[in-house]
Amino acid sequence: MRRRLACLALLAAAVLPAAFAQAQDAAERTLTVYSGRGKSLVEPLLKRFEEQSGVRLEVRYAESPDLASLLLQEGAKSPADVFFSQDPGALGAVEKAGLLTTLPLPVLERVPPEFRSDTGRWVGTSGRERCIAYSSTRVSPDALPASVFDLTQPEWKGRVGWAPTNASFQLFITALRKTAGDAQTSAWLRGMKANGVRDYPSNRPVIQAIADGEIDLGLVNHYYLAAFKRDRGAAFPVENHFPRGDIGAVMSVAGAGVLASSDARADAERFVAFLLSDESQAWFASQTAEFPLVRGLKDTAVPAPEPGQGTGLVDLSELGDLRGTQALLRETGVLP
Amino acid sequence: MHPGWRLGLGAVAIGATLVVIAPLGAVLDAVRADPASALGALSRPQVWRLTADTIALGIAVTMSSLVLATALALAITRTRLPGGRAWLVPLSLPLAIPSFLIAEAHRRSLGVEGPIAAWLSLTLITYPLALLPLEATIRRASRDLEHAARCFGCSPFRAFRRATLPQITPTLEWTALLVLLYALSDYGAPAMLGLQVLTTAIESRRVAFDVPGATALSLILCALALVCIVGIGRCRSSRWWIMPGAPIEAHREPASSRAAAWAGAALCAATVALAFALPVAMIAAWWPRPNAGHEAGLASVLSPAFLETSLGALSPAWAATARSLAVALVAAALCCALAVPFVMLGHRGGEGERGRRTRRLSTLALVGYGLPGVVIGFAYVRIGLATPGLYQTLPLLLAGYTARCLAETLGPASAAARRMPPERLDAARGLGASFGGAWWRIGIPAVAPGLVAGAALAFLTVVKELPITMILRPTGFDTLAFELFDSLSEAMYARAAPMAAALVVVSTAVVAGLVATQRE
Repeated sequence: MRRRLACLALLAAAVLPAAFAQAQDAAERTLTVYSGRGKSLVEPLLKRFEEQSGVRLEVRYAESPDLASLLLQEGAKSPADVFFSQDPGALGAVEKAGLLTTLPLPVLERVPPEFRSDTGRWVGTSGRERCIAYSSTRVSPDALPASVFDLTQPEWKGRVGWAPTNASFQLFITALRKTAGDAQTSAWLRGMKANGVRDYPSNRPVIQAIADGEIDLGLVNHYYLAAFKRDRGAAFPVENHFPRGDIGAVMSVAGAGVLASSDARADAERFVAFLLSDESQAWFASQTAEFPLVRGLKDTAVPAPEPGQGTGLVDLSELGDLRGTQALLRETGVLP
Repeated sequence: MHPGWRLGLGAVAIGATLVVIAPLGAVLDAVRADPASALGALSRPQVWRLTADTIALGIAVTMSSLVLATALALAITRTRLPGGRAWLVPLSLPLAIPSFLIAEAHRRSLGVEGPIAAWLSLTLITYPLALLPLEATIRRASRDLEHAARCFGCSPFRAFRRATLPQITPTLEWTALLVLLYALSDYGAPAMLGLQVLTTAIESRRVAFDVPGATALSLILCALALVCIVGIGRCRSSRWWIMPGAPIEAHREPASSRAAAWAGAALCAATVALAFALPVAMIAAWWPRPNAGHEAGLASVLSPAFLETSLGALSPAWAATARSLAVALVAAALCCALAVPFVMLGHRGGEGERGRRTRRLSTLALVGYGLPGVVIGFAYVRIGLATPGLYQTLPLLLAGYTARCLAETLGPASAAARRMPPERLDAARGLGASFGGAWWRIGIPAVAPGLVAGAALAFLTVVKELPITMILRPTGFDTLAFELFDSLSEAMYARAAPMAAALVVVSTAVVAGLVATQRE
């Protein structure tokens, strides 16, 4: 018994230092980034910033709403310098609490006004469009719906999936409410439920389900498909359909803002500027298949969005909108 | 007991209980801050439907999980099962896999979703919690009464029910509690299967920054957890059927038929297939191949290019594995150590005011297991922010883990302590040992199998834990479970597979070790 304890203690002594070791040079400049964007996605880009600027990044990866809640709780005590969010709602919540500081004008003016906050406190870094992913083996391109409103038709019964807890989906519903009104949105949601729409916890399982044959269409963000194709090969049997001109193709952004409580504001602004540099924007286009937002880029893998593509960014700085959307989703039984 | 010891042990036990109930305090504090909206949120119509659904799911899962675990335990101990006790290892392995992966595997391969799917998945996820304790108890239970009942003409089922069931009821009670609390607090499986319960609703409110809504639902869940613990605590049987001459070796009944043995084998195989083999097959399908997308045959699996790709894919997993291993070991050891004061205080304390106080403390210390990780995580964020130097450090993370896992060490440790005859300690004291000496040399080793079982359970929980880790960890301390979740969120299956594999391998080693040490 005592020998076993001794062995365990030795094992712990061997493993613990390796795990807890964090080499730190006191003279190094560090920047703390709260990133709602995935580590597996953006770590290469962030490493590039470290190499170029000599600033060491301490990145906290988590879901954007969780990070926003953390920032709201931390307030002025927050160790974060930059909030790099996957979704504008989280940025809006943090902005509304007065935690973000204004960004320098040159940084803000890199992107069109609809892709940054009205008050200049956050800026979009790359664009993502809602789309309808479909099974390339079971749905022919001419059968595809021209609008999301067509999805309540009997021909699509039980064949459509969505992820109602996902922030981008809720942004799409907010956009729908703004353009079509609450009554029509509510009717569409009820119609979808009656038409047997299937729920998934996030975008990834929706596309996986299309590939598995569980559903034929899915309401997702456009860039997941590129990740699947890279992983499974170009023969992966799912494609994206953009109902252009319809609210189903609304554009959203990932974005970044600098915390007012930051003690490394210069470096933080440098980081945001780096995210908007030509090099980074081209990286987003080629590596994550998102839309670059900076005007005037040439020869990018994915072109910058045209003016009026989708229907522009819905202003989610107003948190009231998200609350209203959630209330509507709960009322219609889409959300618990 | 010497008053000094009582004071010291009491202080530690109270401290541990405070760590566990801190999230309760945070929820109550949030209600106090804005009582009108929090209580108003309670009156929304969906709330009561969600509560009813959650309770129904919890009760259904508990019943089916216990029935399955008992059936498996009987098959292993009472029949001439080919493989015998070795089946315990694969049968306990679902503990190694995060619940959302098991649920996803079920959804994709069985094509099920909704309440029935959630019930099935959660049963298969939770039965291992009950299996090892039940197997040990049934093995130790005296067969003499059952033989006597059979001699008097009872059918095997009736003999089991009248003679053996009362002996295993105490184990059934505390494992039922563990399973029920887990079923109430699990988020991954219901979310993946599209079932709306309290935990998924809390998450959806939080994501919308609807603090009153999230608080109201958390309050309901806390109340449910307490009700379950107190309710099951009340029906705890105080009779202890310690039959003299209880056999140590399991006899196989001479008349145990081959049909029974094969039926048992079929049950075990089916359970392992559904609960473990399906998720592992799903993970194996994600493994990166040298030419992604090209249909690879067996030959390519054996090729050097495949080996190279695999080794390359494994490299980010090493650091994450080291971190997960280290923090899980420390958390398990901590929970183990914190269970000991409860055991020592509760020993022989069946009657009187002191016994009641200890029981009340133990009841409260179980509550953390019934709370979802996000509630615990955000409660500790508040505590961490209020305490200088604690925020985003490993001790805070360990506190969060303790709140969640203390129940997993308390259950088995208390069960093991109840089995120890008190005369042994008396004999040691009589021979001149001090109180501490008697416990260190006699008491703790007697309780050790329970402590080890509890530590293994806590280790497995921490290694695959996600929400508390994501909220409380020091920035940069990315564990295996986090890396797995992160890669999956971005549909980077090739990066996720090695993380999942490392998780399964580490957990399998722990399960195998646990089964080996449970030999008595």
